[in-house]
Amino acid sequence: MESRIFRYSCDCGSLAIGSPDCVTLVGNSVGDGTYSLFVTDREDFKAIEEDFVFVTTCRGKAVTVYDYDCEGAEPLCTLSGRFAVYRRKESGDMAVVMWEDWTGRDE
Amino acid sequence: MQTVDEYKGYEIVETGWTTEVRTGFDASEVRPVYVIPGMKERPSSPFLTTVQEARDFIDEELAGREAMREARTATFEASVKVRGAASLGVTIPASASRALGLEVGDRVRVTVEKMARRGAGRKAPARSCALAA
Repeated sequence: MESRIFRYSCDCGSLAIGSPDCVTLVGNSVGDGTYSLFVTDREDFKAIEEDFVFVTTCRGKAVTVYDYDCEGAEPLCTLSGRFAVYRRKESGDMAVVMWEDWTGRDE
Repeated sequence: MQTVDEYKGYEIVETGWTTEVRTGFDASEVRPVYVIPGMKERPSSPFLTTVQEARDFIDEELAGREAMREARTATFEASVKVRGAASLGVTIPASASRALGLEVGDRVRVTVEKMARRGAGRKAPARSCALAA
């Protein structure tokens, strides 16, 4: 999995994760603004893990991470599998870490 | 993680992370993210996406550190007046103490330069001390 850094914005102090029908807002504990989002696997995450605090896990097929937590959000990436969400200490940065990649798995 | 350049004693290391950088009004490109061990250990905003950006970051960081060091430094002249068993004492003037916000218990670094021998000249000789808190 390619490790990417995106930018996300929030007016509800959170990262929006879900699908067109259902979205969960994962709080960044800092508040509104524009921050970095690290999308990676466990291996690459080790290098930066020390800065982050675990928040929650999520699993599903075609789970979308959005660039904004209010109306008008655009997808940043879509993940299939089991992954964890972390927040960076004293920062609004978030990380989505793939634990189990289901991409290509049969229905 | 691969070192791609060395600049002023610091390594510039490619992390394997990438990020999208806006390069124009309606243009962007995906670039690698660099870190500088000992200075910018992990990817964080602002991301360094070219070797030149990393070099500029090192320049700015070193300039900032030098400015910080100067801001925490006071230079004064003083005479050695107190003799201990095997040491000598110099009083830090109140002006230098105030400028640095020194309190009892603070640790300081003192560089001593001998300026003139005692008794040389009419006026009492002075000693120069550079003090960094």
